[in-house]
Amino acid sequence: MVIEDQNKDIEQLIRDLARKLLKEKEVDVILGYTKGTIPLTSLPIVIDKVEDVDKLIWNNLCYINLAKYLVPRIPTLMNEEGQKLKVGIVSKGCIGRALIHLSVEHQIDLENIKIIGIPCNGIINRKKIEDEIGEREIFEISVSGDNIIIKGEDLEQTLPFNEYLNDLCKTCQVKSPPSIENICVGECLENPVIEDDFSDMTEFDSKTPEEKWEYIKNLLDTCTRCYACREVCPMCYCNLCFVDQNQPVWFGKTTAYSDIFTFHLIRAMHMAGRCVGCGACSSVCPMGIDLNLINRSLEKIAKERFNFTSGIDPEALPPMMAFDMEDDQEFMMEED
Amino acid sequence: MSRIQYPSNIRIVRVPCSGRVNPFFIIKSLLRGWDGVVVSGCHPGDCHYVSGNLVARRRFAILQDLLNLFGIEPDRVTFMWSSASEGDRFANLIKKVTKNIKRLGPNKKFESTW
Ligand code: SF4
Ligand code: SF4
Ligand code: FES
Repeated sequence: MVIEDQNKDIEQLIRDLARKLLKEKEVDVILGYTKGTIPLTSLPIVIDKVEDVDKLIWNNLCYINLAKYLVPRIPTLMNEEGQKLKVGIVSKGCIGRALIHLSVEHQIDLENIKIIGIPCNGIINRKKIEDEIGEREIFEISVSGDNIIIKGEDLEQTLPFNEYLNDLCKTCQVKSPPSIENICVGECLENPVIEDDFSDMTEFDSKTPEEKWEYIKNLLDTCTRCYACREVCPMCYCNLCFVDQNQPVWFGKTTAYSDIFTFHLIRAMHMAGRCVGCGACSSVCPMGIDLNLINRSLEKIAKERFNFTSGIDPEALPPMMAFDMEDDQEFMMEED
Repeated sequence: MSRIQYPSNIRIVRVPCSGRVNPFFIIKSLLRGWDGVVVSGCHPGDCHYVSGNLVARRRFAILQDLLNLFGIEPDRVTFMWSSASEGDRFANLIKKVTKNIKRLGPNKKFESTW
């Protein structure tokens, strides 16, 4: 089926389910996506009336991970009496994974939400589009058939959809949220299994330390430390993030590379075995930095060292919440 | 330990348990210009706090993998087990560490350009 039709079907699925859940008072509000105010974006929206359901949309720019709006750091959705609202949340695969992982970390209560599962058909990579279009202003972007149509001043361009997808969407194997009984409605996956050989990492892994250093330096050098990647990440819910601590200050606040990579190194450290690979962080980066390489290697570390994949099994303990006498320790120094 | 000599160009920072070592301590030392960092703890099973070193081991594994990802030479940061009765082992390992770090030369990657 062409992308355009898939999008219409998904949108219809969202609206039908949202309407039903609201009507039957199964939930108080629906958390979903609506049209963005500028091209290449979408916005999160909270719907509390059946009449407003048609504001909900689906397109290939719904890159925000909505699970973020349920974590403790974000003001809780409450009614006037101060009671927590029951939320129906529009969920592509990675949102479902984030919700499961957050519940494993005891940050959200799955009993209080309904997962509206949809079969995600991929997110367009804004950076790739911007690289293609350059400085020219984009007025409108749409999908027609299997192509992306971009319109702007003196500009009308057709790009093949598949080539402008996020790389991680191309390899994604959990396009719908993992199913949980009584919590999921819509399209969910029963016991998804991720078969991943991390072949996309082989090339990078075979580089020497110097080559890796140069590669990552090139990747991160333009980072302005705006922390948008942290703000958007559903797994970043600490009340006091290490970057904001000043007692002690863990690292400098400059844009010297030593500070930039310390930030990214520790961010990665805190994400190991937790990142669900939603790609939201790369989508929001104003400098167009693609953090996918780092996030992929986090998945690889979690899988290869601890046989763990985040956000799949609501019962499995993440590696950093557990330990095992038998863990590998090949990296520990031994006498010659 | 046991009055056995070990290289004098290391400075000891005492912590209650290897589980107390926040990866930040390691990074911060490198940012401050130390050429290498060693973390030494009791052998698995011997931790005074029962499992401090097992928790730490997972943390160190991930940190080591990430340093590797970012292109930091693997020998800058070393993890080892050595108990209070293993003075010989401690001295030997520290000799090995200092040798490795001398081979790497000064820690330039963490140097601030400011
Ligand atoms: S969003 Fe981009 S520029 Fe901002 S801190 Fe993250 S990587 Fe750096
Ligand atoms: S680190 Fe990025 S890809 Fe991973 S969960 Fe957070 S926002 Fe998503
Ligand atoms: S007391 Fe925990 S490692 Fe030594």
